[in-house]
Amino acid sequence: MTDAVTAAPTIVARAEKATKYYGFGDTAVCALAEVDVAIEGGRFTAIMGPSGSGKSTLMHCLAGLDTLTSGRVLIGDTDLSTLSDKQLTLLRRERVGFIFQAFNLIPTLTAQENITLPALLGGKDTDTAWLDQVVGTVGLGDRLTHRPSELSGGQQQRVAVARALAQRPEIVFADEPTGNLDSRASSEILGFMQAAVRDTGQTIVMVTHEPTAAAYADRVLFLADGRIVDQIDGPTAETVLDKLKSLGD
Amino acid sequence: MFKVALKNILGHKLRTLFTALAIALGVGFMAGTFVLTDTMQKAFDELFSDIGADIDAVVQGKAPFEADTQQGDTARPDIDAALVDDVRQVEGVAEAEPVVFTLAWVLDADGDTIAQGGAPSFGTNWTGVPEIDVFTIEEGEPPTGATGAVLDEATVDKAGFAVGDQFQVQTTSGVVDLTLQGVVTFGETGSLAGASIVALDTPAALDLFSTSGKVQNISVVGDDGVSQQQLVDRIADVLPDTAEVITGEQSIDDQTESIQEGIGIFRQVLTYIGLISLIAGAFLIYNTFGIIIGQRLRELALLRALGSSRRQVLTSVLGESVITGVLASLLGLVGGIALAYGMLALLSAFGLELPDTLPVVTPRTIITSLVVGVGITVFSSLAPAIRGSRIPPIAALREQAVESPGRSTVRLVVGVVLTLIGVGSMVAGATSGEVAPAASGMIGLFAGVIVLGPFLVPVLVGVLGFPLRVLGLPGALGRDNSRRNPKRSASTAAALMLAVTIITFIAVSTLSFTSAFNSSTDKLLLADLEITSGFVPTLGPALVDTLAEQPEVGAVTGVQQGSIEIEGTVRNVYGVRPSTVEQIFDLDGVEGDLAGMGSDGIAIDRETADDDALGIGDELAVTLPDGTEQTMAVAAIYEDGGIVAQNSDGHYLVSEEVFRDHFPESAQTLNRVDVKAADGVSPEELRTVVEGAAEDFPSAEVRDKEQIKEANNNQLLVTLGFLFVLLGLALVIGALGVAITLALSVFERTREIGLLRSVGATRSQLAVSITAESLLLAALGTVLGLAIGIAGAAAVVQSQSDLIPSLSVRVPIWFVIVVFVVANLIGLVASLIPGWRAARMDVLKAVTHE
Repeated sequence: MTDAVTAAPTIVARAEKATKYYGFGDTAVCALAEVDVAIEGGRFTAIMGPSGSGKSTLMHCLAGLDTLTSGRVLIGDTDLSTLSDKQLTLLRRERVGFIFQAFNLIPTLTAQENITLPALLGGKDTDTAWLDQVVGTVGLGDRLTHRPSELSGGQQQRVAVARALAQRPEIVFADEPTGNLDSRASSEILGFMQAAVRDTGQTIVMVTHEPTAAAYADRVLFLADGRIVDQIDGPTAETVLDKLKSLGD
Repeated sequence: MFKVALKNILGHKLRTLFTALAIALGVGFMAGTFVLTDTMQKAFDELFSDIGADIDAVVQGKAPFEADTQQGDTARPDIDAALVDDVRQVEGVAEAEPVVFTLAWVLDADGDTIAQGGAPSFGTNWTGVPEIDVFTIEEGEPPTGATGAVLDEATVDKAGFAVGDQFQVQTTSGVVDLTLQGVVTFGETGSLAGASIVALDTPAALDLFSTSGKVQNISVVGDDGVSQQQLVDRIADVLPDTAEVITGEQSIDDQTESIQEGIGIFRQVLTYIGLISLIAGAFLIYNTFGIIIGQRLRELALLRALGSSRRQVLTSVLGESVITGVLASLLGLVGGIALAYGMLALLSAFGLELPDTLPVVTPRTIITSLVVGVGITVFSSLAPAIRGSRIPPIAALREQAVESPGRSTVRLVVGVVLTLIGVGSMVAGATSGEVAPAASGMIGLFAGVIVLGPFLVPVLVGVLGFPLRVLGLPGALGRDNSRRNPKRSASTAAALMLAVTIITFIAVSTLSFTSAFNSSTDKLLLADLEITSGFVPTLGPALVDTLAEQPEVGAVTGVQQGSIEIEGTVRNVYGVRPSTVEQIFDLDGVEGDLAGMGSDGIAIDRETADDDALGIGDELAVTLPDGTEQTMAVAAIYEDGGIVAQNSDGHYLVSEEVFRDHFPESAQTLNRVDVKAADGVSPEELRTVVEGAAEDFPSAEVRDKEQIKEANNNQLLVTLGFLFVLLGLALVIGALGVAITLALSVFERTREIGLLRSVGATRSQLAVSITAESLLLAALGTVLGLAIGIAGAAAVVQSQSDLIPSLSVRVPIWFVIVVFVVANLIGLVASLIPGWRAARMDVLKAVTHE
C-alpha cells in the first residue's frame, strides 16, 4: 500500500493542454483551458470544483466520452483523439470502468448480468474467482439474480461498482457516484472504492462536490474556471472544505 | 392548449408523419377506390346515354322469373325478329329495327383473335338507321349483302386491315369469311370500352350471329311529338305475352344499373380492404398516442399543477390527434386520386380503355375520406387522451413514471370470455356445417387475443425469442426489451396480426378448397380432356356435336349453366348430354334412367330428393326462361353432382335440349366441354382431334386432368398474389407501427442506450438489439395471426366438409415460410430508422439525458 504512494507512480491517464469550448464564436464557453493533469496508477483521485468549473467535462474527456477542442488525452499510451468510434467503444469496454450518479444499470438485466455486461458485450468470460471476490467485497452475494427494480438505491450502486471493477480496467471513472444516496449507503460505496484502490491497486478517478466523499481519495484536484487551481494529497473533509471555501472567495 | 398540441406536432415531425402515414394509406386506398369506381361509373353512364340517346322505346323478351346468376340476366328470352313488322305498324313509330348482339371474334391473318386478354368481342347488325346504330361510318361504306361487314377503328388498327380486305370472324357456330366494307367509330374515342365490334347488314347478321333466328331486342324511334311513354303504351298492345316494351330512358337506366351492380361489388371489396388498413392504422394510432401520453406524463402533470383543467389537457391531446387526422386524410385523398389515375392507366394498358374521362372526385369522396380519416384518428386517441387527462398533478413531482403493465383482472376476464365465445362459435359452426358462426367465431377469437395480448406477450416472447440467443447479449437485450412493456408490445403487434390473420384465413381456406377440388378432379372426373373457355362461356354448342362425330371420341358432353324456376323457386341448373354424362362424370351412383332423360325430364341429387321428398317419376312444375311452363319428371337421382358443377351446388341436371330450345342466345354458349377417348385411342391421338375441333374457338384451352389441377393451382397463386398485394397495405401499416413504437422506445431508453455505449456496446450491437426487438414484435403479430387465421380457416373448411368430399384443412409449409419471411423482412425494415437513431446517439448526451 505504502510503496504505491512512495514509489515513482505510473501514469495511467493524462491530459495535455486539454482545452474544451462549448458553442462557437462569440457565444463559445470555455469549459477547460489548457489543463495538464496526470492520473497516477493505483491511486484514488477526486476532482472537485464549483458548478461550471469543468470538473465533469474533464472527467468525460479523460474517459473518452467527450472530445477536446484542442490538446490531447492519453489512457496508457493510447491517444484518444486518434481513435475511431469503434476503437473508443472497445477501449471503454476493456480498459475503462464507469460508475454514474444514477441510472447505472440496464433494467432488463439481472445484477449478475449487469456486472458482467462489458464482458458479455465483448463475448468474453469473466474471471470467476475475481468476480466472486468483487461480488463478495461489495456484499451482493444473495442479490445477483435480482433485477435493478428489486434493489435499493445503495444496492444498485454497489452493482455499478462491481461492474466497474469486474473487468479489472486500467482506470475507473466515477461521476458523483454517491449523489443520490443517503450518508450510510454513500460511505459504503466510497469504502468499497477505497478498498479496491488499496487492496488491488485499482486506479479510480471520481468527480464529486461532497467534501466527505473527496476525503476517501488519496488526492483531490480542484478545478475552477476550467483550470486546475490546487490539489491536496491525503485530504480530510475539513481540509477539502477549507480549500473549497477559499476557492469560493 | 391548442398551441401545446401544435407545438408537439411541430416538435416531432417524423413521428407525426409516420402516424399520419398509417391513416393516410388506408384513407388513400379508400379514396382511390371511390375515385376509380366513380370514374368507371361515369364513363359507362355516358356510354349508355350516348348509345341510347335517340332510342325512344326498346322491345325485349319478358323474363318469366327473376334470375340472379353469375353470368348476368340469362333468363331474359330472345324475341322473334318478325315482331318488328307488328311494331312498325304502331302509330307514332318512325323507325323500328331488330338488334342482334352476340359474341363474335375478329381473327387476324393467322387465325388468332384480335381482342386480347378477355376483352369483349361482339357481333351485331347495321340497321342503317342513324338513331339506332351506335356507330358512325368513319371510312368506306355501310355493310351490304351476305358477307359485307364493318369493324370498329381500334380493331382495324390492331389487325392492320384496310377497306376491301377479306377477313374471318369466329362466331359461336363457326368461322365465316367476310369483306371489310367500312370502318366505324363510336363517339369521340372510337372504341366501346375496349370491346371489338363487327357489324353486318341486318339479314346477314340474323343469319350468321343468331343461331335461333331470334334477336335480343327491337329498338324503336318515335315520331316527333310522341312521348316515350305514349309510344310504349301503344306498342305494348301489339306485343305477345313473351315480350315487353320499355322506354328508352328505362333501358338506359337498366343497363346503367347492371353495370352499377358490378362496379358496386368491386367497390365493396376494395372498400373492405381499405377498412382493414384503417383498422390496422387505428391500432397504430392508439398505441402511439398511448406511448406519447406515457412519455409526457410529467409534462401533463405539470400543466395540471400549474392550473390547467382536465378538459384542457384532454383538448390538447385530442387537438394533436385532430391535426394528425386532417393531415393524414388530406395526404390520403391526394394519394388516392393519384392511385386512381394509376389504376385507370393500368386498366387501359390491359385493354379496358375507358372513354376519355377525367378522374371523378365527388364531394362524397372528399367528405368520406375526411370523416373516416379524422374520425378514426380521434377515436383511437380517445382512450389515451382520457388517461392523460386523469393524471394527477402530483405525478409531476414523482421521480419515474411507471406505465401500467395492462394486466388487470378485468382485462383477463374480458379476454378469456371473448376468446371462449369465439372458439365456441367456431366449434359450433364447424360441427353444424354453418359457415357464419365459424367465420364470426374467428372475429371473437381475434378480439379475445387482442384483449389478452399483455398476458400472452411475456410467454410468447420467451419462446419466440429463443433463437435470438445466437445474437448474444444484443439479442437477449432485444428480447428482454420486447417483453418489458407487454401492453405496448401487444398493441404494436396487433396491426400486423390483423393483416396476417386475414391473409392466412383466406389463403388457408382457398388452399384447402383448391386441394379438395383437385382431388375430386382426380377421383370423379372420368373425362380425359376438358375444353374450357375461361370465365365467360364462349364455346358453341356445335363443338359438342362435332366432337361426338369423331371416331376417336368415346363420349363427350358440354356443361351449360342457367336458371329455371322449379316449383316457384329459381334454381341453378346444368345442361348436359344425358347419354354420356355418366361416362364423363362419376356421380357416385345413379338411381333411375339418366341417359334416357329427355326434354321433359330432370335429374336431381340425393340431398334434394331427400329434402323435398322426391322419387323417380315425380313431376315438378317448371318455368323455363322463354316463358314455357311445363312439368318435368324426375328421371334420375344421383348421389353427388359436385363434379358437374365444379364443386358448387350441382343439385339439378337437365338435358342440353332444354337449353337449346328454351334458353336465350346468351345462354347457349358453354364454358366447359368434357371428352373421353374411345377404347384404344391414346391420349395424344385424342388431344390432336380435340384440339383440331377446338381451334374454331379462340378462347378455348384443352386440358387434361393434370393441367386442370395445374390451372387451379395457378389460379390460386394469382388469387394469393393479389391478396398479398392488397393486404400488403395493412402489412406496411403494421411495419410502420413497429417502427414508431421502437422509435418512441428508443427515445425513452436514451439513458440506457448511453449507459450501454459507455460500458462498451458498439453501434452495431445496439442496432442488433433494436433489430432483435423489432423481429420479435413482428414475429408476435405473425404467429398470433397465423394461429387465428388457421383456426378460422379450419372452422370454415370443417363446416363445409359435409358438402364437399375430401375437403380438409391444408396448411402448406411453404405458405407459413413465406409469411414468416415477409414478417421478418417487415421486422428488419421497421428497425432500420430506430436502430440507426439508437446507434448514432451521442454517448455523452445520452448518458446525461434527463
